Amino acid sequence: MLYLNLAIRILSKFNLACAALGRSIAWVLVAAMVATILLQVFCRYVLNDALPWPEEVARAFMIWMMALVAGEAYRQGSFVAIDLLQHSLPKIMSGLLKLLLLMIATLVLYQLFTLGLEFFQRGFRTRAASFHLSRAWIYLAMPVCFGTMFLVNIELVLIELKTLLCPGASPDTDSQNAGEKI
Amino acid sequence: MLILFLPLFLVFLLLGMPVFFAMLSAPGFMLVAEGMDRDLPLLFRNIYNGIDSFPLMAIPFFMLAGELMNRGGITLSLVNFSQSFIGHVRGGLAHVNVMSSMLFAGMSGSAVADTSAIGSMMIPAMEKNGYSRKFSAAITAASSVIGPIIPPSGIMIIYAYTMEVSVAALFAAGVVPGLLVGLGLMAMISIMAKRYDFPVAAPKQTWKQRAKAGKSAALPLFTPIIILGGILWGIFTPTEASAVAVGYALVISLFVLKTIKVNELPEIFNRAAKGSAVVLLLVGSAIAFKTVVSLSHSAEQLAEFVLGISDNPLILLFLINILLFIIGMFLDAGPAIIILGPILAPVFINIGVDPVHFAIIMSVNLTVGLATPPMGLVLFVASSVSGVKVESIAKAILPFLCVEIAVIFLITFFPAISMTVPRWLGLA
Repeated sequence: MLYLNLAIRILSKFNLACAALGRSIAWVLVAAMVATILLQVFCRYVLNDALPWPEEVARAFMIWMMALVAGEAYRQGSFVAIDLLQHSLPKIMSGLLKLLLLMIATLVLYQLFTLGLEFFQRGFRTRAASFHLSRAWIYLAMPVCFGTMFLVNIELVLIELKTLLCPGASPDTDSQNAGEKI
Repeated sequence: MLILFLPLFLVFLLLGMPVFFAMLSAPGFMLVAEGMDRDLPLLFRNIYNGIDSFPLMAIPFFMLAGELMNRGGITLSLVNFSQSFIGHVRGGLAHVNVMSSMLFAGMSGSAVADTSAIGSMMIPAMEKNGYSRKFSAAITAASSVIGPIIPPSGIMIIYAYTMEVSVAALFAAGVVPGLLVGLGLMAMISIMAKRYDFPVAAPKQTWKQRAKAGKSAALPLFTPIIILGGILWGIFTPTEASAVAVGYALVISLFVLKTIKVNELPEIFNRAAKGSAVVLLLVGSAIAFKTVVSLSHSAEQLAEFVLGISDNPLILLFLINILLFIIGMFLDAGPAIIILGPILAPVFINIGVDPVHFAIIMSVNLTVGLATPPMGLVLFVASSVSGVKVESIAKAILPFLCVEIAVIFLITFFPAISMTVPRWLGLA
């Protein structure tokens, strides 16, 4: 139990730090997306001279924005699920079911992370169509997205495991907000 | 055998797995079981392709515009504007609630934003005016479903993108059904007002007073004109219109009304980022899911099954409405559209239903599902805003749900209700 608590605490701190870093960049990316599209609107409709790059750049900003906050959104339980059955089951059964689903999610996220890494490596073969950058740097958002979600998922698995093994234990301060709706 | 991914997917959903994981794990497991592992990278590629989309960018922008409008205090000016016109009739504040929702719907594409913005202002005001708190919460929840029906609409953007239908056509098709829901709710309020002797909110306003209220609401009310006018008259793409709406909302809130400070922007932007990240991942997974739907020929097999029940489109539309309504009771509109769109739409388009008409039936039906128990999202939001139990709101909302169900069947069996505006504009 000591090691389990320690692992949860370390993972929680790491995931919270990742979330804080993600937040501090994501809002800038949102602002950059808006600015880029407004610039395109201005150039197209006022100057009558559309730029070739804003759409692709804004899409890259959007993908990175999503990647940087997806882990935190997952941690806060923002992913929609029908949890009627879980609520109607006895506590232990419900805990076991949640653990099973989280294990499946771990498998999915691990697979997505590894496929994302391959995707990133293949990206070095191509360049963005409208600006001089390897597409790999845009594709990198995918392993970052699924990697952070994978770590959050591990934290959720450990928290669920702790709840099952030690039902009366109070959650750590850092981890008590994790998986609010899961 | 690959088609077994559909029942497996349903099992995962019913067990409580988040929709995003269910949409990827069920097809993924079946591909591995069928020895088709080489298609897994294709699935991944399609998640990325699904997200890497310019039209989809309208979702974070409309979410952000809604957040800015909500935080920027424009709700108050909309409520005052509505009250100046309709506050003097019996049940005035209930009417004001619905009318404010209709106006707010032209700026925000989200029922949740509508419930929290209108509800936090109207529920205490209605209670003070003599309404019960549960009735106030119920009418707020019922009217907030107009948000995603009157354009702009987040779920219509998702539908248009996943099903390759014109966003402009869907937006145009949503105008009349949205107004119909609003007017239907107001008619029900009038009936209830006579029966239960609802209070009058304020004395009748003069046209001078109305003009004054209109002046303070003029800037926010200009937003739907920018968005819809820009899109429907072909000036902007929907994504550009949504970015312009954000720019406009920023200028109004920061410099004109001065209701938002610059240091509040990161938090507002981050809320929009988080909300849209979840939607983007869902859409990406839907595009991957759609790949397996076509690999397994499940749409064709489903079409065969459905046509085995009846080949009369009217009967099938009636049955599909019942199915969608039941699904809407348990699942949010966005994920439901993402899951069911690729499976159901081809079947109905093949039997001659117009793609835009079917999209509107599906969108309105699943949107009404947001206000139905046991899992209606806006019921939960209304409950948290009002402090009334979900069960109490669910009971009080029933007369209004009857109106909304009637509208669903009207737009199903009278396609002209939704199709006239897009046809006028040459979009369908």
